[in-house]
Amino acid sequence: MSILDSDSIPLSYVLRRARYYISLLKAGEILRRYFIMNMFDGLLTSVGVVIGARISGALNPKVIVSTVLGASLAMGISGFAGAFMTERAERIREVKELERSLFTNLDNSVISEASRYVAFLAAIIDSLSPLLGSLIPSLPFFLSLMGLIGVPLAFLASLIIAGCLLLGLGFYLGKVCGESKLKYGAYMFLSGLAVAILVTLIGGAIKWGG
Amino acid sequence: MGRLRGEVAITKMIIDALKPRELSIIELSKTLCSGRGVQSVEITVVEVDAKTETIKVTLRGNSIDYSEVAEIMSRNGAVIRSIDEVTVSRKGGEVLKVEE
Repeated sequence: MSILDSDSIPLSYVLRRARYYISLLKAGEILRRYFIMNMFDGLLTSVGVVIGARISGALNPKVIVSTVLGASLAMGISGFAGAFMTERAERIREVKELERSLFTNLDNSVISEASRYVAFLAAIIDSLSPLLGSLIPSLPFFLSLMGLIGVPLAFLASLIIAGCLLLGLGFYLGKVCGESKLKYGAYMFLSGLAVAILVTLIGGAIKWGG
Repeated sequence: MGRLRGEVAITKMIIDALKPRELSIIELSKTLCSGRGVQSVEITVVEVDAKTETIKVTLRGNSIDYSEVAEIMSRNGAVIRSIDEVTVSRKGGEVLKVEE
């Protein structure tokens, strides 16, 4: 029996359990880090693909959608597998160290349960955040593929969505560290801009070189 | 000496235990207090180490179920090192106190 076992409402039970396990292992920080880093990866990948396609003259919704889908699925799966194995190994090591300090076996304790849960949660976050980060900015191209909007509008909308999400991530980081949200938003936005400029320059150089 | 009638119940226990530092004494005390026959729980941190804390758990109630207390402690990753004090009473009878 633990503090959580007495709850009878399933949803509140799941949420309470998640919150309790995260607070027990102080895992909030690492989960937040996984979310921001991987969402950022996904967003910049999407910006790179869209601008690269524009520069190479292959701004075809079908190409963009399949490229972004492929990239995001690969990032999602690699994120899940990588984070799950890494986190699981780290958590097992911590539990073993704790077992040595307590002179006991913690296999059936909430500590072991929380370790397994947090490793799984980290893997889910690590897989979903780049997936969403790259899929959301490419939504206009899905609309374009369905014939609802034109390709130039989809291109513009995609970059605007990516820019807004980067700003949002920056604001969130600013909120986390208690510093200027605008400053962090600007940092994130400028990194997106840097990717756009680099891809444009490299793409342009390849185009003119060829 | 005649036979004693009535149920003999544990009404107070003082337990010396070791717990992981991550485990909050607030959560642990609430969980222990939800156990059968427990009416109040006091936890005092006696010693702090790098990964563990030694705690003194005082349980009071009308009929404390020690096996449940031990199970709650173990489930939460705490290890009972010793029972330092126990008070038992017989319903309607005299109180017997044992100290280590």
